[in-house]
Amino acid sequence: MEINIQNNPENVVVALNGSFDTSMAEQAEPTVKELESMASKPIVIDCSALDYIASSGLRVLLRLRKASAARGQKVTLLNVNESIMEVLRVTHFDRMFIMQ
Amino acid sequence: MKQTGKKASSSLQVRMTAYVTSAVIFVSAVAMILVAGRVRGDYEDLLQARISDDLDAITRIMEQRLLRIEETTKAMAALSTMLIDDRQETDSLLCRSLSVMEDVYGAAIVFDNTVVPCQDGYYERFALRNANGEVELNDFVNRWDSQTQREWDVCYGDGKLLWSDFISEYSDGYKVISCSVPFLDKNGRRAGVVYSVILESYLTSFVTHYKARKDIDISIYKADGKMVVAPDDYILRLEPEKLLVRESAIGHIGWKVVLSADRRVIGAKVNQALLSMLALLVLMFIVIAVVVRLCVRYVARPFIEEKRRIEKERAVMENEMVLAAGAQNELVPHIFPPFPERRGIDLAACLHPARKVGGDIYDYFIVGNKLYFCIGDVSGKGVQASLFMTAVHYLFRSVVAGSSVSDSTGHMNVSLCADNEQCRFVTFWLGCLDLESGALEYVNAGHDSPILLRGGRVETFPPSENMSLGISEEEKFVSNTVVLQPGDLILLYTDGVTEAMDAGGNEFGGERLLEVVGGTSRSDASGLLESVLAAVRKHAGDAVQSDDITMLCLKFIMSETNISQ
Repeated sequence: MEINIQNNPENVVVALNGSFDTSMAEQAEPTVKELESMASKPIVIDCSALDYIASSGLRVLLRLRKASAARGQKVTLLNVNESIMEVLRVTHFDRMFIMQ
Repeated sequence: MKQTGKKASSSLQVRMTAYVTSAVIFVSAVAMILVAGRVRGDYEDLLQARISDDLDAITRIMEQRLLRIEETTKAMAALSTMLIDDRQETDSLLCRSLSVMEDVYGAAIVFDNTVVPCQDGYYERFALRNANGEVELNDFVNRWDSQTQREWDVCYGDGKLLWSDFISEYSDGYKVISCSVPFLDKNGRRAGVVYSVILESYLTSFVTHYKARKDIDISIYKADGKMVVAPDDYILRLEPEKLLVRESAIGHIGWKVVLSADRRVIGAKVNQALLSMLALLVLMFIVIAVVVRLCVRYVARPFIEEKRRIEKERAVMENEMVLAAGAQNELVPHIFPPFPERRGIDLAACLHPARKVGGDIYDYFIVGNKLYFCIGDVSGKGVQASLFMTAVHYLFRSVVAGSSVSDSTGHMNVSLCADNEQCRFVTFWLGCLDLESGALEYVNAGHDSPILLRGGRVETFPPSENMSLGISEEEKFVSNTVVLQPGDLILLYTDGVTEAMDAGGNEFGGERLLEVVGGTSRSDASGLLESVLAAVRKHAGDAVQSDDITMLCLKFIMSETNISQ
C-alpha cells in the first residue's frame, strides 16, 4: 500500500492506495505519527484507490480522528468505494467521519 | 553435541586447509616446471652476454700488459747492444728494467758463447725480485736442454721476439713464462738474448682478479693449443656440449682467452632458485591465508555475535509468544460441555489464533438462571491486541453480571475508551439468555451478526446498530431481544471465519457459511462447530491462516422450567 501526503495550507490530503491490512498498519506507524502531528489542519483522506481496509486500518483512521478532535478539527473520508462503505456502515464508523 | 559439532567443523577446516595448500603447492610446482626451461634459457642468454663483456675486457687488459712487457724487453735488447761491453751498465739496465716492469718476476741477459765463452752451456746475468721486493742480481751458467735449445734456436736463429712454449720451472720452484728478444753487438752480429719472466701465479692471479662471476671459468691457451692457465678441475669438465664457451684471441701473440660456464651448474642454480621461489610462494600463501583467516575472524566476530544475540532474543521472544498464546487459551474457557448440570443448553466454542497470540475472545458464565456469553474481535493482532483482549475479558467478567446488557456494554466501552491512545477497539457481541424463558437479550457492538438455525432454516440476526467498544465513550448501546425456541442453534463467529482465504486469496464468505450451517447433518453445538471448521479448513487448503478463527455455538434445548416439570 502507498500513502501519499499532500500538506496544503488549508488542509492535509492523504491518498491511500491499495490494501490497508494489519501488516501495512504496522509499517505505516511512522507516517501515522507524522500525520497526527499535522492534525491542527483538517485531514482529508482520499480513499478512491483504497481496495480493502482491515480493522487495524480502521484503527489508524480512528487515531487520526482522535488527534484531530483534540484540536477541534475533523477528518473527512473522500470517495470511499462501496465495499469499504459497507464496512464503515456495519461498524458505524461512518458516524465518526465526514463522508464525502 | 555442541562440542562434537565444533570438533567436526575444526577437522573440516584442517582438511580444507590441507586441500587448498596441496592444490596451491601443486599448481605452483607445475607452473615452476613450465617456466623452468624458459628461465634456464633466459639465464643462459644473460650469462652469454656477461661472458662476452668479460671476455672483451680481459682480452684487452691482457693484451696491454703483455705488450708492455714485450716493449720493455725489446728496449732492453736495444740497450744491451750499446752496453754489451760494460758489465756494470748491463747490470744497471737489468735493475732499471725490472723496476719499471711491475708485472714481471725477473729479467735476464743471455750471452752468446762468442761474447762470454761457456763450455757446454750458456751464461746469463739474471735480475729477480726477492721476497722483500728487492732486486737481486745473479750469474748463471746453464746447460742446454731441449726446450731452451729450441727456444734459443727460434728466437736467436730467426731474430724474433718469442714467448716461451710453456711453463718452465725454476730451481726455486717458480713456474714461469718468458718473453725473449735477441740482441746484436755493435758490429751487427748476434750477441745474445734478453728475456723477461712472468710467473704463472701472476697470470693466475690476474685471471682470478678479473673473473667476474664464480660460475664463469677463465683459461688461456697459446696459439698452438697449449694451455697457459686453466682452472684446477677444468680438464675434468672439458665436455663442450655441457659448456657455454666463448673465446677471444690476444691479437699479436695469438694467445686465446677462453671463458666458459658449465650448463649443469647453471641448470642446478636455476632449479635451486626456482625451488627457493616455490618455497617462498608456499610460505607466502600460508602467511596470507593465516592473516586473512585472522582478519575475517576479527571482522566477522561482531556480526556473528550480533546474529547469535538476535537469534537468542528471537528464540526467547518466540517462547514468550508461545507462553502468551497459552495464557490466551487459558483465559477463555475450553472445557466442554461447560455446564453439564444444565440440561437445557448445549454450548461449544473454539479459538484458533492466526499468529501465536490472537486478538479474539469468547466467554460465558451463568449467574442464577441467566447465561451471559460473548464473542469479540480486537483490532489488530499480536501481543498488544492480546493485552487489549485480556482487558475486554476481565471487564466482561466484572461488569456484566447484574446490569442490563446495554448498560453493561456501555460500562465496558467507557473503561476501554479511557487512556486508549492507540485507539484500539473491539467488535463485541454480548448476550444474556434467560434459561427459564428462552428470552435472549443482546447487544451487537459492531460485530458480525450471528446466525440462527431454527427448524432447518438459517437466518442472520439483524445488523449491528452500535459502534464497536473503545471508540467513543459517549456511545449509547441499543439492545435487542429474541426469544429462542427449543432446538434453536445460534452461531457466533468472528470475521476470521468468513474472511479465511484460500491460496488464491478468495474468501470463505458469509454466504458459504450460511450454506454450511444450513446443510450440516449435526444438530449439536460442537457438531456444528466441527462442520464449519472443517469447511473453512478445506477451503483454506495450504494457505496460511491470516486471522484468528473463533466461534461460539449455543443450542437452546429446552427451558429449565420444562426440565423441572
